[in-house]
Amino acid sequence: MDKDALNKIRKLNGVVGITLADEYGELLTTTINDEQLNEFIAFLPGITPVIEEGLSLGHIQGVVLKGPHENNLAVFIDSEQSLTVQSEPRSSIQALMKQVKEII
Amino acid sequence: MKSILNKIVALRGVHYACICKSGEVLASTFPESNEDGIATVTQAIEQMFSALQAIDKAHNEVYFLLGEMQLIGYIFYDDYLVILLTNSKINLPLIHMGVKSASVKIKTLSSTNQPLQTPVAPIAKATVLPADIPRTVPHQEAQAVAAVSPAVQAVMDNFSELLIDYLGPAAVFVFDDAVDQWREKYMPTAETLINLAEILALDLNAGDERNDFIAKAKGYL
Repeated sequence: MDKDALNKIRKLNGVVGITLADEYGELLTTTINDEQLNEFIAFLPGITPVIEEGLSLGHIQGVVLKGPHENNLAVFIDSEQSLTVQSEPRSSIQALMKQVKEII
Repeated sequence: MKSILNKIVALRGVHYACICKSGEVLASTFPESNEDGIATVTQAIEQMFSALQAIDKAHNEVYFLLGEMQLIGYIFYDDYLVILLTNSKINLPLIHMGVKSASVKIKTLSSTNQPLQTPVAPIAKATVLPADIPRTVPHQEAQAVAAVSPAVQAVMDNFSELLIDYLGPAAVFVFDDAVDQWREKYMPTAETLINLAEILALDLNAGDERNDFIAKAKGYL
């Protein structure tokens, strides 16, 4: 994913931070300063193959996490990289995901 | 537990549901043929929520996007996990309401030490249309608290059906919550059924809608 696309995503309304990781969970770039959260973000794509295998319903294209008083996390997963977009809880996660998909 | 799950899967767009605690599936409507797969999935999701708790994050909803479908996980009271397989396009507020209502009932069942492990036969289910919504609300849990006479139950069933005309699928959850309130305040007898109707009416729009509901409810008394 090129820098230009990442910059566009960073500037989307409601976006708080982004993290790009490779298939092994290695962080390639991040604007999220929470080290523990980045560790979790790196861990998350590792469990999606387990869920894919258990469900047998095909490839997981993305993961969304929400919680009270927490920023939303939207994770876009492909075979080589995962992009996590952290956004304000009051912003529309669906609208944001649509915008990010258009950019990537 | 069975009735709790059945109410959730009765919602439009929800295909299967299961309830788990500490890595164990307590009840499920997923096909038995994929029992092992679902156990693996629930353990992975519990592990994910544990990781979040370990870093003091309060995320309690996860959505795995699978094209036309999605797998949703809700964790509540720290270790109860509800997993739903749904269409990608669903009425999320309704699902939230259903799961929230279910979580209260699961907590109640737990606190009264009632057996939680009631294996549920898999439900072969395709798309659920509004007409498929149960017209009577299961009341096994309520019966465990205080039995009501068949005559009172018949009126309650009529109230439940009437409420669906006003609220649609959400009526199933509203009705159960209202019955709980009614049982807390009144003896569940024929004489207090009007109080149940009044509690139910509080979930309708003030004015004509409430008055209309109560008038029709009185017709069943």
